[in-house]
Amino acid sequence: MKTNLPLVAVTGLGRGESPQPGAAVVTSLRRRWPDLRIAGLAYDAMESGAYAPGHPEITFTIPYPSCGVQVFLNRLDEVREIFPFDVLIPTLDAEMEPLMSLRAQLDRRGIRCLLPDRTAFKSRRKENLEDLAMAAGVKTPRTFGAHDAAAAAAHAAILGRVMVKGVFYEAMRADSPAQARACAGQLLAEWGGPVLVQELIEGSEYDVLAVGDGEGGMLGSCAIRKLVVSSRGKGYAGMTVRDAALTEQVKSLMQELRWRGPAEFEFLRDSRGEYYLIEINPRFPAWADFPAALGCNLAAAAIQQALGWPVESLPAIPPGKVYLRHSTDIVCDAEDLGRLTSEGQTLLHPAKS
Amino acid sequence: MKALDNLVTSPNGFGFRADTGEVFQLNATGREMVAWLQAGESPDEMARKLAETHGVPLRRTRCDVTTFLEHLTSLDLLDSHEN
Repeated sequence: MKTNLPLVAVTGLGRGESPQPGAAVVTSLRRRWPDLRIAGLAYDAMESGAYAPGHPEITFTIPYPSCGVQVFLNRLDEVREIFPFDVLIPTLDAEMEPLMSLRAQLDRRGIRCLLPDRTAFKSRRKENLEDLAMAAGVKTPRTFGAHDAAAAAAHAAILGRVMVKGVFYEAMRADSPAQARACAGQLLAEWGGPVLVQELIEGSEYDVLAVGDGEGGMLGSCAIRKLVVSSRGKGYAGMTVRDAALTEQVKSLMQELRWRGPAEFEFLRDSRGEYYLIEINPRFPAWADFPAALGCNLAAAAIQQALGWPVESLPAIPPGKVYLRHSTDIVCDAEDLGRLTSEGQTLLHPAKS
Repeated sequence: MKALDNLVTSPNGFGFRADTGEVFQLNATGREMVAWLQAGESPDEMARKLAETHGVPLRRTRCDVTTFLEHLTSLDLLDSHEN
């Protein structure tokens, strides 16, 4: 079996203030296959997961997808001359559309990529979330798209207190139309348009990581309540929960989307116990290794599915398990940073976990 | 009693709802009463047991049980018709 293991490439290795999922995915895969050969694909030599314990055996720099899909593909080809990976696991939102446009080229190269179907991907976009939620019988806050700050203020005047959300990242709370105008201006300048102006729901945040089978079912899932949320909205602690109502909503969304691969469903639960879907991320979350540490290895299941391997039934996760995110300092040689910066690749010492 | 059935307590009094992840801290008597409620005991039976265990008048434990059930209701752990 060992010789049949694929070579895997994973993106998104940063574990700083806004942690990316790649390093957690690498850890999960190593839990399942300790000898799995993994390459890291980094946009920046300072992505700490390239150097942390359990790091990929080799890391390459890659250009941002915004440089153009052909440039991106050319770099993947260069990487494959050195490390001919069979499976690509993108973990960042901004990578999904460019990679979906490269699906045929990736297929021709025999690269299995953990990507959803394009229709499903579009259906979960922030601006389409209300339609999806209605079709799945799930509640979601009222939401309007705005292409300029004045329109955002006008929507806020109708909705009251709102969250103003960037097209890819970031959300800011606005308690008045004037604040909504300011937030929208800032987000439009940073991320482009449109921004989403969403009715504010007060409540606790719940996330569900699930892997869809592409036929409306799920290979497995893990639901958590966020216990600590950073100023940037990142979950720094979470507790597993088991609520049939929450699971049913995710099943219904999966059924509607016929989602293939990993996705993170974000909900708010109000004081009456009603869940509101606020976002679906088309990838693993930064806490992806938490369920794997509890015996439910969703990253491994996603790889098995991508390769057409049988997927063993995943255990249910007990409620009451907690993760606490813990920042630490990684020590490495300047030489390693230098190689990744100037040569575009760094082969590190054997990974130690 | 559905919400209370989801309340998991540890010997040190830390409790959490398995369905929502909300956390609570219970003292020894609170832990005892939650266990009785989860076993399906009636408020009268709970008051009787408390009076026996702690050697206090029944009228006082009835009052304590009522107060405790009202508190559980305010935390959405009991429906109002259950206490």
